[in-house]
Amino acid sequence: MGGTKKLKPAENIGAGWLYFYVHFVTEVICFYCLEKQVGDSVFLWIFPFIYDALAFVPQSVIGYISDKFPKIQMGSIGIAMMAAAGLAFWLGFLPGKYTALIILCIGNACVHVNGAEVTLRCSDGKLSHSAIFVAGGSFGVITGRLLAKSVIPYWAIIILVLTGIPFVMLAEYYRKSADKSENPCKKFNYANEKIPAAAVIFLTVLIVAVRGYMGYGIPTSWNKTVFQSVMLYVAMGVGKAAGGILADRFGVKKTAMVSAAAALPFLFLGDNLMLVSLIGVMFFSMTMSITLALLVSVLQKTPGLAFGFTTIGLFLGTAPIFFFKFTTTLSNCIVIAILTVVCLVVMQFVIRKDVKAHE
Amino acid sequence: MNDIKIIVNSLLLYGAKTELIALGIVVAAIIGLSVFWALRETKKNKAEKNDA
Repeated sequence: MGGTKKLKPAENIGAGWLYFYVHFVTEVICFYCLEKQVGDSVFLWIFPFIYDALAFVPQSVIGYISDKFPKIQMGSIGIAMMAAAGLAFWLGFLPGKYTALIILCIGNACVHVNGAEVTLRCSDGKLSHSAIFVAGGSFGVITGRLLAKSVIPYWAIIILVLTGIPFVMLAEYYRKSADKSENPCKKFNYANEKIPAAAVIFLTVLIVAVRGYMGYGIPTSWNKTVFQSVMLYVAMGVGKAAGGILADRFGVKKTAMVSAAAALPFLFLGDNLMLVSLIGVMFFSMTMSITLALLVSVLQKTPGLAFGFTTIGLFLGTAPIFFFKFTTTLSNCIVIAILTVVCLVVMQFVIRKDVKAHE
Repeated sequence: MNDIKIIVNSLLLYGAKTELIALGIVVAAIIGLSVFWALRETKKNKAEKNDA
Protein backbone atom coordinates (compact mmCIF):
# COMPACT_ATOMS: atom_id res chain seq x y z
CA MET A 1 0.00 0.00 0.00
CA GLY A 2 3.08 2.20 0.09
CA GLY A 3 2.43 3.53 -3.40
CA THR A 4 -1.17 4.54 -2.71
CA LYS A 5 -2.05 7.41 -5.03
CA LYS A 6 -4.27 10.37 -4.06
CA LEU A 7 -7.76 9.60 -5.35
CA LYS A 8 -10.34 12.14 -6.49
CA PRO A 9 -13.43 12.60 -4.26
CA ALA A 10 -15.66 11.02 -6.91
CA GLU A 11 -13.45 7.90 -6.95
CA ASN A 12 -13.58 7.73 -3.16
CA ILE A 13 -17.33 7.06 -3.21
CA GLY A 14 -16.25 3.40 -3.42
CA ALA A 15 -15.35 3.58 0.27
CA GLY A 16 -18.98 4.42 1.04
CA TRP A 17 -20.24 1.39 -0.89
CA LEU A 18 -17.64 -0.93 0.66
CA TYR A 19 -18.78 0.14 4.11
CA PHE A 20 -22.42 -0.06 3.05
CA TYR A 21 -21.84 -3.82 2.80
CA VAL A 22 -19.73 -4.01 5.98
CA HIS A 23 -22.39 -2.07 7.89
CA PHE A 24 -25.05 -4.37 6.45
CA VAL A 25 -23.37 -7.61 7.62
CA THR A 26 -22.58 -5.99 10.99
CA GLU A 27 -26.25 -5.28 11.68
CA VAL A 28 -27.26 -8.69 10.31
CA ILE A 29 -25.20 -10.58 12.91
CA CYS A 30 -26.10 -8.18 15.73
CA PHE A 31 -29.85 -8.31 15.17
CA TYR A 32 -29.75 -12.03 14.38
CA CYS A 33 -28.12 -12.69 17.77
CA LEU A 34 -30.39 -10.22 19.60
CA GLU A 35 -33.57 -11.63 18.08
CA LYS A 36 -32.46 -15.19 18.90
CA GLN A 37 -31.84 -14.25 22.54
CA VAL A 38 -34.78 -11.94 23.11
CA GLY A 39 -37.67 -13.54 21.28
CA ASP A 40 -40.85 -12.45 23.04
CA SER A 41 -39.57 -12.74 26.60
CA VAL A 42 -40.25 -9.73 28.81
CA PHE A 43 -37.33 -10.48 31.12
CA LEU A 44 -34.83 -10.48 28.29
CA TRP A 45 -35.91 -7.00 27.33
CA ILE A 46 -32.84 -5.82 29.22
CA PHE A 47 -30.75 -7.38 26.43
CA PRO A 48 -31.68 -4.78 23.78
CA PHE A 49 -31.18 -2.00 26.32
CA ILE A 50 -27.66 -3.19 27.17
CA TYR A 51 -27.03 -3.60 23.44
CA ASP A 52 -28.13 -0.02 22.76
CA ALA A 53 -25.95 1.33 25.57
CA LEU A 54 -22.80 -0.67 24.86
CA ALA A 55 -22.94 -0.59 21.07
CA PHE A 56 -23.72 3.15 20.83
CA VAL A 57 -22.05 4.96 23.73
CA PRO A 58 -18.46 3.55 23.61
CA GLN A 59 -18.14 4.63 19.96
CA SER A 60 -16.88 8.03 21.13
CA VAL A 61 -14.03 6.45 23.11
CA ILE A 62 -13.21 3.94 20.36
CA GLY A 63 -13.46 6.76 17.83
CA TYR A 64 -11.03 8.94 19.76
CA ILE A 65 -8.56 6.01 20.08
CA SER A 66 -8.93 5.42 16.32
CA ASP A 67 -8.29 9.13 15.65
CA LYS A 68 -5.11 9.09 17.72
CA PHE A 69 -3.85 5.64 16.65
CA PRO A 70 -4.96 5.25 13.02
CA LYS A 71 -2.84 2.14 12.51
CA ILE A 72 -5.15 0.07 14.72
CA GLN A 73 -7.37 -1.93 12.35
CA MET A 74 -10.66 -1.24 14.14
CA GLY A 75 -12.76 -2.66 11.28
CA SER A 76 -11.10 -6.08 11.22
CA ILE A 77 -10.93 -6.24 15.02
CA GLY A 78 -14.65 -5.43 15.19
CA ILE A 79 -15.59 -8.13 12.67
CA ALA A 80 -13.45 -10.72 14.51
CA MET A 81 -15.13 -9.77 17.81
CA MET A 82 -18.62 -10.06 16.34
CA ALA A 83 -17.79 -13.46 14.80
CA ALA A 84 -16.44 -14.61 18.19
CA ALA A 85 -19.60 -13.35 19.91
CA GLY A 86 -21.77 -15.18 17.36
CA LEU A 87 -19.79 -18.35 18.07
CA ALA A 88 -20.25 -17.84 21.82
CA PHE A 89 -24.01 -17.35 21.44
CA TRP A 90 -24.15 -20.49 19.31
CA LEU A 91 -21.98 -22.81 21.42
CA GLY A 92 -22.43 -21.07 24.79
CA PHE A 93 -18.81 -21.47 25.85
CA LEU A 94 -18.40 -18.05 27.50
CA PRO A 95 -19.22 -17.60 31.22
CA GLY A 96 -21.79 -15.02 32.36
CA LYS A 97 -25.05 -14.21 30.61
CA TYR A 98 -23.85 -10.89 29.19
CA THR A 99 -20.24 -11.69 28.13
CA ALA A 100 -21.07 -12.59 24.52
CA LEU A 101 -23.41 -9.60 24.26
CA ILE A 102 -20.69 -7.19 25.46
CA ILE A 103 -18.19 -8.60 22.92
CA LEU A 104 -20.83 -8.25 20.19
CA CYS A 105 -21.49 -4.63 21.18
CA ILE A 106 -17.82 -3.61 21.25
CA GLY A 107 -17.24 -5.34 17.90
CA ASN A 108 -20.21 -3.48 16.45
CA ALA A 109 -18.86 -0.18 17.80
CA CYS A 110 -15.38 -0.80 16.30
CA VAL A 111 -16.83 -1.45 12.83
CA HIS A 112 -19.06 1.62 12.98
CA VAL A 113 -16.19 3.85 14.06
CA ASN A 114 -13.93 2.59 11.28
CA GLY A 115 -16.69 3.03 8.72
CA ALA A 116 -17.15 6.63 9.82
CA GLU A 117 -13.40 7.30 9.87
CA VAL A 118 -12.89 5.94 6.35
CA THR A 119 -15.92 7.54 4.72
CA LEU A 120 -15.46 10.94 6.39
CA ARG A 121 -11.73 11.15 5.74
CA CYS A 122 -11.97 10.34 2.05
CA SER A 123 -15.14 12.27 1.25
CA ASP A 124 -13.43 15.64 0.73
CA GLY A 125 -16.16 17.43 2.67
CA LYS A 126 -19.05 15.64 0.95
CA LEU A 127 -21.85 13.90 2.82
CA SER A 128 -22.74 11.17 0.32
CA HIS A 129 -19.95 8.82 1.37
CA SER A 130 -20.91 8.60 5.03
CA ALA A 131 -24.63 8.66 4.15
CA ILE A 132 -24.22 5.57 1.96
CA PHE A 133 -22.25 3.86 4.74
CA VAL A 134 -24.92 4.69 7.33
CA ALA A 135 -27.75 3.51 5.04
CA GLY A 136 -26.43 -0.06 4.95
CA GLY A 137 -27.39 -0.54 8.60
CA SER A 138 -31.15 -0.23 8.04
CA PHE A 139 -31.12 -3.07 5.51
CA GLY A 140 -28.99 -5.15 7.91
CA VAL A 141 -31.34 -4.66 10.88
CA ILE A 142 -34.40 -6.05 9.12
CA THR A 143 -32.42 -8.83 7.38
CA GLY A 144 -30.93 -9.96 10.71
CA ARG A 145 -34.35 -10.00 12.36
CA LEU A 146 -35.90 -12.00 9.55
CA LEU A 147 -33.02 -14.50 9.38
CA ALA A 148 -33.31 -15.11 13.13
CA LYS A 149 -36.87 -16.30 12.57
CA SER A 150 -35.80 -18.60 9.71
CA VAL A 151 -33.89 -21.89 9.72
CA ILE A 152 -30.59 -20.18 8.89
CA PRO A 153 -28.07 -21.40 11.51
CA TYR A 154 -25.53 -19.37 13.51
CA TRP A 155 -22.55 -20.65 11.49
CA ALA A 156 -23.98 -19.23 8.25
CA ILE A 157 -24.33 -15.79 9.85
CA ILE A 158 -20.78 -15.99 11.24
CA ILE A 159 -19.46 -16.77 7.74
CA LEU A 160 -21.52 -13.88 6.37
CA VAL A 161 -19.98 -11.37 8.81
CA LEU A 162 -16.48 -12.68 8.03
CA THR A 163 -17.04 -11.85 4.35
CA GLY A 164 -16.83 -8.22 5.48
CA ILE A 165 -13.07 -8.47 6.16
CA PRO A 166 -11.91 -8.11 2.52
CA PHE A 167 -14.24 -5.10 2.16
CA VAL A 168 -12.70 -3.51 5.27
CA MET A 169 -9.20 -4.11 3.93
CA LEU A 170 -10.11 -2.66 0.54
CA ALA A 171 -11.58 0.42 2.24
CA GLU A 172 -8.26 0.97 4.03
CA TYR A 173 -6.79 1.71 0.60
CA TYR A 174 -9.13 4.69 0.31
CA ARG A 175 -8.31 5.85 3.84
CA LYS A 176 -4.55 5.70 3.21
CA SER A 177 -5.05 7.73 0.06
CA ALA A 178 -7.09 10.34 1.94
CA ASP A 179 -4.69 10.48 4.89
CA LYS A 180 -1.97 11.81 2.57
CA SER A 181 -3.55 15.17 3.21
CA GLU A 182 -2.70 16.79 6.58
CA ASN A 183 -6.33 17.33 7.61
CA PRO A 184 -8.65 15.22 5.40
CA CYS A 185 -11.81 16.60 7.04
CA LYS A 186 -10.94 20.28 6.65
CA LYS A 187 -13.66 20.82 4.04
CA PHE A 188 -16.37 20.02 6.57
CA ASN A 189 -17.47 23.56 7.34
CA TYR A 190 -21.20 23.34 7.81
CA ALA A 191 -21.55 24.71 11.34
CA ASN A 192 -22.43 28.33 12.03
CA GLU A 193 -19.09 29.91 12.95
CA LYS A 194 -20.76 32.48 15.21
CA ILE A 195 -21.84 29.73 17.61
CA PRO A 196 -19.17 28.32 19.97
CA ALA A 197 -18.02 24.81 19.05
CA ALA A 198 -19.13 23.39 22.41
CA ALA A 199 -22.65 24.74 21.83
CA VAL A 200 -22.71 23.25 18.32
CA ILE A 201 -21.82 19.85 19.78
CA PHE A 202 -24.48 20.11 22.48
CA LEU A 203 -27.23 21.29 20.13
CA THR A 204 -26.39 18.74 17.44
CA VAL A 205 -26.44 15.89 19.97
CA LEU A 206 -29.82 17.27 21.08
CA ILE A 207 -31.11 17.07 17.48
CA VAL A 208 -29.84 13.48 17.15
CA ALA A 209 -31.42 12.51 20.48
CA VAL A 210 -34.76 14.10 19.57
CA ARG A 211 -34.77 12.42 16.15
CA GLY A 212 -33.78 9.11 17.77
CA TYR A 213 -36.71 9.36 20.17
CA MET A 214 -39.09 10.35 17.41
CA GLY A 215 -38.04 7.36 15.31
CA TYR A 216 -39.76 5.07 17.78
CA GLY A 217 -42.86 7.21 18.07
CA ILE A 218 -43.72 7.41 14.38
CA PRO A 219 -47.33 6.23 14.02
CA THR A 220 -47.26 3.13 11.80
CA SER A 221 -50.53 1.28 12.38
CA TRP A 222 -50.18 -0.03 8.82
CA ASN A 223 -47.08 -2.04 9.71
CA LYS A 224 -48.47 -5.55 10.25
CA THR A 225 -46.77 -7.89 7.77
CA VAL A 226 -43.15 -8.90 7.11
CA PHE A 227 -43.26 -7.18 3.72
CA GLN A 228 -44.43 -3.93 5.34
CA SER A 229 -41.64 -4.12 7.96
CA VAL A 230 -39.10 -4.64 5.17
CA MET A 231 -40.50 -1.62 3.32
CA LEU A 232 -40.20 0.50 6.49
CA TYR A 233 -36.50 -0.31 6.89
CA VAL A 234 -35.87 0.10 3.14
CA ALA A 235 -37.43 3.59 3.34
CA MET A 236 -35.16 4.43 6.29
CA GLY A 237 -32.06 3.22 4.42
CA VAL A 238 -32.96 5.05 1.21
CA GLY A 239 -33.76 8.21 3.19
CA LYS A 240 -30.42 8.17 5.01
CA ALA A 241 -28.47 7.77 1.75
CA ALA A 242 -30.63 10.32 -0.08
CA GLY A 243 -30.08 12.88 2.70
CA GLY A 244 -26.33 12.94 2.06
CA ILE A 245 -26.65 12.91 -1.72
CA LEU A 246 -29.25 15.72 -1.75
CA ALA A 247 -27.21 17.77 0.75
CA ASP A 248 -24.22 17.58 -1.62
CA ARG A 249 -26.45 18.57 -4.53
CA PHE A 250 -28.71 21.27 -3.06
CA GLY A 251 -26.97 22.39 0.12
CA VAL A 252 -26.90 21.14 3.68
CA LYS A 253 -29.23 23.67 5.31
CA LYS A 254 -31.88 23.47 2.62
CA THR A 255 -31.94 19.67 2.76
CA ALA A 256 -32.04 19.58 6.57
CA MET A 257 -34.85 22.13 6.94
CA VAL A 258 -36.99 20.89 4.03
CA SER A 259 -36.70 17.21 4.96
CA ALA A 260 -37.50 17.81 8.64
CA ALA A 261 -40.52 19.99 7.86
CA ALA A 262 -41.79 17.85 4.97
CA ALA A 263 -41.68 14.65 7.03
CA LEU A 264 -44.38 15.85 9.47
CA PRO A 265 -47.55 15.81 7.30
CA PHE A 266 -46.59 12.54 5.64
CA LEU A 267 -45.94 10.87 9.01
CA PHE A 268 -49.21 12.08 10.54
CA LEU A 269 -51.41 11.34 7.52
CA GLY A 270 -49.70 8.01 6.90
CA ASP A 271 -50.69 6.25 10.11
CA ASN A 272 -52.90 3.91 8.08
CA LEU A 273 -51.44 4.52 4.61
CA MET A 274 -48.16 2.75 3.99
CA LEU A 275 -47.00 4.69 0.91
CA VAL A 276 -47.65 8.11 2.47
CA SER A 277 -45.96 7.02 5.69
CA LEU A 278 -42.91 5.67 3.84
CA ILE A 279 -42.40 9.04 2.15
CA GLY A 280 -42.47 10.62 5.62
CA VAL A 281 -39.98 8.07 6.97
CA MET A 282 -37.65 8.80 4.03
CA PHE A 283 -37.74 12.55 4.70
CA PHE A 284 -37.35 11.92 8.42
CA SER A 285 -34.20 9.82 7.92
CA MET A 286 -32.46 12.42 5.76
CA THR A 287 -30.94 14.44 8.62
CA MET A 288 -28.72 11.56 9.80
CA SER A 289 -25.64 12.42 7.75
CA ILE A 290 -26.22 16.16 8.19
CA THR A 291 -25.88 15.98 11.97
CA LEU A 292 -22.71 13.94 11.54
CA ALA A 293 -21.30 16.56 9.16
CA LEU A 294 -22.12 19.30 11.70
CA LEU A 295 -20.16 17.54 14.44
CA VAL A 296 -17.21 16.87 12.13
CA SER A 297 -17.23 20.57 11.24
CA VAL A 298 -16.26 21.45 14.83
CA LEU A 299 -14.14 18.34 15.47
CA GLN A 300 -12.34 18.16 12.13
CA LYS A 301 -9.23 16.45 13.45
CA THR A 302 -11.13 13.82 15.41
CA PRO A 303 -13.90 12.51 13.10
CA GLY A 304 -14.10 9.29 15.11
CA LEU A 305 -14.94 11.23 18.27
CA ALA A 306 -17.44 13.34 16.29
CA PHE A 307 -19.17 10.19 15.04
CA GLY A 308 -19.25 8.90 18.62
CA PHE A 309 -21.28 11.93 19.66
CA THR A 310 -24.00 11.08 17.13
CA THR A 311 -24.28 7.58 18.60
CA ILE A 312 -24.35 9.00 22.16
CA GLY A 313 -27.24 11.20 20.99
CA LEU A 314 -28.99 8.18 19.50
CA PHE A 315 -28.67 6.29 22.77
CA LEU A 316 -29.93 9.25 24.81
CA GLY A 317 -32.88 9.55 22.42
CA THR A 318 -33.82 5.88 22.40
CA ALA A 319 -33.21 5.13 26.11
CA PRO A 320 -36.51 6.71 27.31
CA ILE A 321 -38.43 4.31 25.04
CA PHE A 322 -37.39 1.46 27.34
CA PHE A 323 -39.02 3.14 30.34
CA PHE A 324 -42.15 4.95 29.17
CA LYS A 325 -44.15 5.34 26.03
CA PHE A 326 -47.12 7.31 24.75
CA THR A 327 -50.00 4.98 24.21
CA THR A 328 -52.29 7.05 21.97
CA THR A 329 -51.61 8.18 18.42
CA LEU A 330 -52.73 11.75 19.21
CA SER A 331 -50.28 12.23 22.09
CA ASN A 332 -47.56 10.70 19.92
CA CYS A 333 -48.32 13.13 17.08
CA ILE A 334 -48.32 16.14 19.42
CA VAL A 335 -44.92 15.16 20.84
CA ILE A 336 -43.51 14.56 17.36
CA ALA A 337 -44.79 17.96 16.15
CA ILE A 338 -43.29 19.81 19.14
CA LEU A 339 -39.94 18.01 18.80
CA THR A 340 -39.81 18.73 15.06
CA VAL A 341 -40.27 22.44 15.71
CA VAL A 342 -37.46 22.29 18.30
CA CYS A 343 -35.21 20.56 15.72
CA LEU A 344 -36.05 23.12 13.03
CA VAL A 345 -35.26 26.05 15.31
CA VAL A 346 -31.96 24.51 16.45
CA MET A 347 -30.92 23.60 12.88
CA GLN A 348 -31.75 27.13 11.70
CA PHE A 349 -29.16 28.46 14.16
CA VAL A 350 -26.54 25.74 14.06
CA ILE A 351 -26.16 25.12 10.31
CA ARG A 352 -24.19 27.64 8.28
CA LYS A 353 -26.19 29.57 5.71
CA ASP A 354 -26.55 28.14 2.19
CA VAL A 355 -23.51 25.95 2.23
CA LYS A 356 -23.00 23.46 -0.51
CA ALA A 357 -20.50 20.63 -0.12
CA HIS A 358 -16.97 21.35 -1.40
CA GLU A 359 -17.65 25.04 -1.77
CA MET B 1 -51.08 10.97 32.21
CA ASN B 2 -53.26 8.10 30.95
CA ASP B 3 -51.53 8.52 27.61
CA ILE B 4 -48.15 7.59 29.04
CA LYS B 5 -47.38 4.01 29.91
CA ILE B 6 -44.62 3.67 32.51
CA ILE B 7 -42.78 0.38 32.20
CA VAL B 8 -39.74 0.95 34.39
CA ASN B 9 -41.21 -1.00 37.34
CA SER B 10 -41.64 -4.19 35.37
CA LEU B 11 -38.01 -3.97 34.23
CA LEU B 12 -36.76 -3.61 37.79
CA LEU B 13 -39.15 -6.30 39.03
CA TYR B 14 -37.63 -8.78 36.64
CA GLY B 15 -34.29 -8.37 38.37
CA ALA B 16 -32.45 -6.00 36.07
CA LYS B 17 -31.73 -3.39 38.75
CA THR B 18 -28.01 -4.25 39.12
CA GLU B 19 -27.51 -4.23 35.35
CA LEU B 20 -29.21 -0.85 35.03
CA ILE B 21 -27.07 0.73 37.77
CA ALA B 22 -23.83 -0.70 36.30
CA LEU B 23 -24.85 0.45 32.85
CA GLY B 24 -25.68 3.93 34.15
CA ILE B 25 -22.22 4.29 35.69
CA VAL B 26 -20.45 3.10 32.51
CA VAL B 27 -22.53 5.35 30.26
CA ALA B 28 -22.05 8.41 32.50
CA ALA B 29 -18.27 7.82 32.66
CA ILE B 30 -17.94 7.46 28.88
CA ILE B 31 -20.06 10.53 28.16
CA GLY B 32 -18.05 12.54 30.69
CA LEU B 33 -14.76 11.46 29.13
CA SER B 34 -16.04 12.21 25.61
CA VAL B 35 -17.19 15.69 26.61
CA PHE B 36 -13.79 16.35 28.20
CA TRP B 37 -11.96 15.25 25.02
CA ALA B 38 -14.29 17.23 22.79
CA LEU B 39 -13.82 20.43 24.81
CA ARG B 40 -10.05 19.94 24.75
CA GLU B 41 -10.10 19.42 20.97
CA THR B 42 -12.28 22.46 20.28
CA LYS B 43 -10.02 24.58 22.52
CA LYS B 44 -6.96 23.32 20.64
CA ASN B 45 -8.60 24.00 17.26
CA LYS B 46 -9.54 27.53 18.35
CA ALA B 47 -5.99 28.25 19.52
CA GLU B 48 -4.57 26.97 16.21
CA LYS B 49 -7.04 29.12 14.27
CA ASN B 50 -6.07 32.21 16.27
CA ASP B 51 -2.35 31.50 15.72
CA ALA B 52 -2.93 31.20 11.99
